Amino acid sequence: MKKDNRLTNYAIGYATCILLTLIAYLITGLNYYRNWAIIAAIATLAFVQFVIQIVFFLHLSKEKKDRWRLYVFISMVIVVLILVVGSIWIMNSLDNNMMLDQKQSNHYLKSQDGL
Amino acid sequence: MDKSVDLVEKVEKSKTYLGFWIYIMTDCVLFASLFAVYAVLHHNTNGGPSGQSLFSMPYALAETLILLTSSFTSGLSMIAARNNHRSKVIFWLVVTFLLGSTFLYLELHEFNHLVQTGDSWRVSGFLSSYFTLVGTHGLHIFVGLLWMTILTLVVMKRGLTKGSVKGLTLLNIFWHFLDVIWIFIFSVVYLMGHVGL
Repeated sequence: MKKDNRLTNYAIGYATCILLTLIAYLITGLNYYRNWAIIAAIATLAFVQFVIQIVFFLHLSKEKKDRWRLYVFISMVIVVLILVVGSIWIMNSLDNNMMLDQKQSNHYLKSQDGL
Repeated sequence: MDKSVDLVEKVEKSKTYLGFWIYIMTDCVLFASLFAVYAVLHHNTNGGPSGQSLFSMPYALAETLILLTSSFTSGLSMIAARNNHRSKVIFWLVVTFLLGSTFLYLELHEFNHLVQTGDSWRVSGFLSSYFTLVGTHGLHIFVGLLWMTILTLVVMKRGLTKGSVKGLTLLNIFWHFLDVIWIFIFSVVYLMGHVGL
């Protein structure tokens, strides 16, 4: 019984992942340049596939035997989110505030003239 | 048969398994920092090519499907181990190894092509971060293949012992983890690069 469960799980996970990959690929083929709906769709499909692989391939569950693995996993997700979102946020702000072109920097210098 | 299921379940309840899982989670943090670097630098092409003009989409899709299939066959070797089918374990390990090496070959082929056409990591911040991110994944795949070779030999020689089943279980989650990382490389670097994000 248990063995059949595992095999079915793997097969379901595998089939779904192929499907999600192909959908993401075909959506990208539509070729709308910088279309935010498409970018959001790719991100969502990646996220769904991530969850499916964690559950069906890595067998992470809420069961008691997996409790500690789950805690470490959640900590990892939090660290990763802080790292990635934080980096993008900070570096974009830096870009906006420090990478001034000629016109912007002239404008800035003029605005500081009164000092 | 039951003895073997016991072996796998024992490994899955062991501290070694949890410890290895913690290592994998920290490796995720390593990849996250490389993804963050890529996200920050990927517009800095320094007059060189962008991802959209460099990457071949069908090629990336083929890589993805091959790695996904190898992740699946690696799971099949685990099921064979639970059923104490030594020859099946070896068979699926070999299949996984072949798929994994095909993937690595494709990745290195792509790298070689980029370098040959003058788009190496020296060209721009974008290409430096691209080679670092994808190359680190490729390095992990290489280590996994090495591990797989040794493990296959051990299973051939000693059968499904306590030690080899432990190795198999750990290698299995390592291999799945590499496919999980690849989902994000495929989505962020290739797909989003293609639509010009």
